[in-house]
Amino acid sequence: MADDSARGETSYVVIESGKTSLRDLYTKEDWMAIWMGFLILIVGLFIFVPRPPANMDADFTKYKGVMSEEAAKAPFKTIAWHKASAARKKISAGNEDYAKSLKSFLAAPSDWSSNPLDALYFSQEAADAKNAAAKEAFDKAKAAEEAALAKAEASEAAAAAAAFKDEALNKAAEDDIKAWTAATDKASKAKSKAGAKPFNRFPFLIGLAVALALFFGAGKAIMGESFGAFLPGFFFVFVLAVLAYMAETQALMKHWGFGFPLWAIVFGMLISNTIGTPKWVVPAVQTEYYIKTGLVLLGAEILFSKMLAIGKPGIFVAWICTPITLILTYWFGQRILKMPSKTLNITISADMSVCGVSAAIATAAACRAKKEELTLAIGLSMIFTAVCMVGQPAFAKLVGMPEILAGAWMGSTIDSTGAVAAAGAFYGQKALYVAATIKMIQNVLIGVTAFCVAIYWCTKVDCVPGKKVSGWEIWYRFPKFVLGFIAASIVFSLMFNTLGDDYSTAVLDQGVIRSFSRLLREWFFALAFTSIGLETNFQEFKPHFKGGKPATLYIFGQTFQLSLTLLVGYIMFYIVFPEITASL
Amino acid sequence: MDPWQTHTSNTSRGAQAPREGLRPWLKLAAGVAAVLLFIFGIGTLASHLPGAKHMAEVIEERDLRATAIFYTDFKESSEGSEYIRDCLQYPPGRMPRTE
Repeated sequence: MADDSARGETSYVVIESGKTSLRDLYTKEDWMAIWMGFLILIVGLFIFVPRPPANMDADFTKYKGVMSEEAAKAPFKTIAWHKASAARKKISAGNEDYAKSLKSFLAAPSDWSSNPLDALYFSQEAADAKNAAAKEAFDKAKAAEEAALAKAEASEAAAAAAAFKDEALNKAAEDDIKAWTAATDKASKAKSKAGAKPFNRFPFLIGLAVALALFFGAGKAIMGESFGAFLPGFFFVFVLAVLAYMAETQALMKHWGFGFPLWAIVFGMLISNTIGTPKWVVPAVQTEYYIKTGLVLLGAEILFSKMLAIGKPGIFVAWICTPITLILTYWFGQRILKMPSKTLNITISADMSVCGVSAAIATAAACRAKKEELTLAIGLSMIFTAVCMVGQPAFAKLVGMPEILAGAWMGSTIDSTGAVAAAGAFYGQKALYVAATIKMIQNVLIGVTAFCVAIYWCTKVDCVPGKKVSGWEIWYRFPKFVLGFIAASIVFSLMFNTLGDDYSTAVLDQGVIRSFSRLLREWFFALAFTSIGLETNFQEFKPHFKGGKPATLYIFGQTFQLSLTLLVGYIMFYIVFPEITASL
Repeated sequence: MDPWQTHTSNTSRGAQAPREGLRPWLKLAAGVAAVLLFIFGIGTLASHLPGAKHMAEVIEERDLRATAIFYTDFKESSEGSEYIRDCLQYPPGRMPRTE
């Protein structure tokens, strides 16, 4: 087993003691994180489930009926088919007024470019000026959309007049409809840019800070710790988390994908390695507490039905290539590179092969990696993500890769989930949709990865070689919050399947998760990363850079994944399941 | 209590650097300056790299969140998966599937 004496001197993402009792249920952070995470999810269900969008069922039936009729009528997706599909997507609990209010309260700071205050306060005059500047582009996009629609309608009418039997007319109509959907998308984005509204985030952020301080402080008090000592320090950590968000939303950093986790660690380390973390802040520097609660919430977002989102080829690309890469990279790190830290090895392997920061957090917590190891994995991931985000679509264009294959390749190999969308959009609309969907399927893997890593570490890594481990021993060592993480995933996946795809997407996915729990989950991770920074010394990184092993491991794994995914993607989308590719 | 009295326990080694005098504050100021230089200086220079400018335009035009860490953090994942679901459930030119 890992050296316990060393544990007292080292900052781990998660620490487990070798005892258990019923009192643990309300005195241990693992269990408290589970109850607090569940409480948030239950509150979310109480808010959204009784308030679905008006006429939801009737609207779903109507739009599905239109798509069904249009699909049977023509050999291509007609204008009416696309309009019905778009209208169906808009049925969302997240668009209801109460959900919008909730999102305003929980929202992170907004985008800005040169004045940081723009992230928190935007006056009516500034909004008017922004809208006026964007109006010309919107008018142009709107006119282009109308022209494209008129052309598409004429082409479709011509194809219909020939009873959809003339292939040339069908092809012309399909191309014109595709051009119209692209123009519609552009006009929609231009409209949102021309519709900026004034805001003042200060009252919301103060309210949110107080609410979160009371929430986490109450948990601390139940666990027998000082509520009064926790409270003042929490506001300090929260302010740094807000600054981390503001660094993320700065225009240039947004373009490079440098998100709040990196900035939260940087800002925390700036404090702790210069003037030092003030003593009164320390009770609120609670990495494990925030990260475990956030991970329980993340569990609810791991919906197993999403695995089938793009059919069998998606499962092969995301669920075959990823575990192979993960295991091979870990093996390479241990056997070839001989990395001294297994936890760093598995955290980088998961981060690189699964889905970047979120996988790194879950894996580091499951194997009890050191905080600087998680930081290092995230730093590597962000640097390589920035390179791949620009390099991969450029390479795909250079070799003339088909859009679906490029989307699948980028979706499965670029670490960061958001960067996948950017790279996909760089290539085209279909590439964006396929890339984002493949990444979504891959995201689901982090539940399985975290669970398997936790089991493997309890039963193999943290053992004396040759000594048999009892079931109780495994239980003592097992990070209990992983049970909450898995339970949340199973419960929400079952609810998703039981309530039906339409209802679940509109109310659970768009409502409970996207409009409520995931916003809180992001804040919890921001607080956790700030805490990591406030606890980390620059000196702790030195041993890990020896011989450049982390970077070598990353480059090896990424190169293998790029090659394997391209090969499997081509085989699955173009040889084994070409009919699915043709339908997209 | 001195509000900047720092923590020196073994579990938080990041707080062990010398904390007295003006030097730590100068180091902090230098660190903040380095962050600002990175954001506004290197960030601006890097945008001139081949492909980077076009990528920035795509991100701005589509209002993408390139920093998202999970699929629920950006709307394109739901737009994409729902579009693909519709394509697979209602493929044109075939009899509609019964659900």
